[in-house]
Amino acid sequence: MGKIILFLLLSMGVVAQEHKLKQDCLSCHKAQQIPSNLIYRRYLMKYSTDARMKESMFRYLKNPNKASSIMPPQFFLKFPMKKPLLLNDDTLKQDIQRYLDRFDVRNKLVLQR
Amino acid sequence: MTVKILLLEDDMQLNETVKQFLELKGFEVYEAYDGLKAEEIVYEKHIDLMLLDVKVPQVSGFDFLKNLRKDGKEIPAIFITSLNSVEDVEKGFSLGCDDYIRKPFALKELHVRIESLLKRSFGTHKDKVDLGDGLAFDIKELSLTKNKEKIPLKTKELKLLALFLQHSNVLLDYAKINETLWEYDEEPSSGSLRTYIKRIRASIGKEKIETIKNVGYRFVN
Amino acid sequence: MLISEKRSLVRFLLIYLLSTLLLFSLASWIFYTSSEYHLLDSQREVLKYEAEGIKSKLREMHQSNDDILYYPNNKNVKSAIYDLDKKYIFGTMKDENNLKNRDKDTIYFEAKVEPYYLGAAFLLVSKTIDYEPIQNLQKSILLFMLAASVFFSILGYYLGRLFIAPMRESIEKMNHFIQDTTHELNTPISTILTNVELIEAFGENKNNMNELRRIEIASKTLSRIYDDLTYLNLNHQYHRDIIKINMSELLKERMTYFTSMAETKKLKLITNISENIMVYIDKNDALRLVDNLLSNAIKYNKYNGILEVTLTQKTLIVCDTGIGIKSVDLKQIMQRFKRANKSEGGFGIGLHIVSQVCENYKYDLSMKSEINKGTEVHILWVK
Repeated sequence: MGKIILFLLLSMGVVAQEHKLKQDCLSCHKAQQIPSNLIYRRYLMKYSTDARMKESMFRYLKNPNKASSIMPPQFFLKFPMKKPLLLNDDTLKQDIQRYLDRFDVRNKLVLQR
Repeated sequence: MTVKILLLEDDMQLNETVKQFLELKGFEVYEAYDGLKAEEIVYEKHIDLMLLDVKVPQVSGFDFLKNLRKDGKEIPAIFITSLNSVEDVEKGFSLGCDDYIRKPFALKELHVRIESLLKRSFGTHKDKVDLGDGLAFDIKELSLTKNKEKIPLKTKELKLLALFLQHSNVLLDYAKINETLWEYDEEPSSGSLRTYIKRIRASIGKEKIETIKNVGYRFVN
Repeated sequence: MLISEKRSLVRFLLIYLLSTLLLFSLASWIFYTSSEYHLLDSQREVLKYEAEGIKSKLREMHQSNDDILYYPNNKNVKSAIYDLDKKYIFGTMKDENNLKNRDKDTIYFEAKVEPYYLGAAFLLVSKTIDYEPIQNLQKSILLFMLAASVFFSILGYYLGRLFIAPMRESIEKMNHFIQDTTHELNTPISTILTNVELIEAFGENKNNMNELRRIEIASKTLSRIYDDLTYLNLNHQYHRDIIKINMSELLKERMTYFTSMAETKKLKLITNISENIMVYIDKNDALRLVDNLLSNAIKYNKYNGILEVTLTQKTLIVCDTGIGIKSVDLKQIMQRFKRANKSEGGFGIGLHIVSQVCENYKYDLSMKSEINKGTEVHILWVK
């Protein structure tokens, strides 16, 4: 019984974690109407490869500040400064990856007829 | 009667030399130093054979012979010349010469060729024309012999006989006969001609000379 | 054409054509490479242009919120986008590692994309090479080379013949001269040989004066011809010794030399030779001049004719009563020495030498002649 509960808790946790982690970032983004896809596109435009984007995002999220933000200063007139995340590195990295996958535009490419 | 040769050569020394030699050999030589003089001689005198150099002044040897042949005169001719291309030899023969000798030549060779040409004109390779019955006509001396003894005939008769023998079996018309027989300043006489014919017939046989009425005569061999 | 001419002409043509064609080929090759480059460049320009178009499309797509992004399928060009690590992202070109391997028949243009729209750092645009203009270029060049070859061959041929012409003229002149001379030689040789034959065959117990006289005359003629030949042969090279010559003495001496020949024709000699006429001339030239004038006057004279020789301070005149020369031939003789002319007249090299000497010393040479009357040769050496 305990295993089942543990399993359920864990699975719920995983789902919840996933969901939650996503919600960690996106719920706030959504609530504050932060244009996540635009942010993604900025990163794409500046860093080209997933690896570089991840690296840059990671650095920023560890220590978000106006100076190192990818968004222009005007952005911070509208939106609040992000507080540093209290997630561990691995989770953060995974989250970032999921973020990239979520907003990737490149898989939308299709040959024009 | 001696054989008469026309010698056309413009170099005085060579001309003299050849003339001296031919006279030593028993020929009578009329020399000319240019083509014009040669033409004069050939129409004035009776010539039996001609030695012609090609490169002579006034009228060239070639032209001289060409004109002569055009006029129907068939006197045998030998070209002596230093021209030695094949074209010139060709030209010479095409104009009607009978032989060609190149300078420098040996007099002996010239002599041999002259004799050969004379014999040829009588249709033989021998010195005499055999007329049968011991009769023979000597080509070099232009004389008639019977059994090696000379038959006395006048010069004109011998000339006439020589003409017949040179045109064996060929019709000789009066014109041709007169041309040969008479010198340029003599009047052709048909009476004399008949006499000559009679005397020749008397010597060699009547059947040998055929009369073709109003046309001429023919020697029958 | 003579063999030597042909050979020279062929050699010249070969060298000339080869060098011209080589030069032309080089020029054509340089022109071709440069033109080819420009032709391809203009095709590259098309690529550049298309690339810009695609780049702006990339920008559009990057900013679009559509669910499907239509990558431009250009009719003219193929393209592909690569990220900063040169990894293939997408394109009309398959991912054949085109950035590294280039196809031989395709031109490529690699554009940098900045900022990295759609993550693309490199845009590779390609197009198959349109060989048609290049082939046309090749054809035109080939045609041009062909035309040039033909043109230069013809030009070269005529140029070559132009160069050879003087050589041919010389050779023809030489040939005619040799022909004439051999003719002239033959007769005196014949005279000598035949007279020797006469002496051998008939000469015993005779004094043979006639034969010996003829041999003497013929030998002298041969000697004169020999001198003339050497004179003509060495004409260009021999060293002239211009000294003061007593023309009067020389003339008299030569007349004595020719006496026997004059006597053969029983010629009457009229001499009007002023004393001590001095002329600046090379001795050999003087001899050739005088000998030929005298021998001609004797040779062509009539039997019992007249030979008149006049020498004054300014002139030398030799007159004969010979067969004369037709005016038509007279002109030809004077021209003969400028062109190689064939003549059957038998005038030989005598007058040729006379005219050469006169030309050399700028003497005035004039001839008057009348058929069957005679000939007068007039030389003026003092103006």
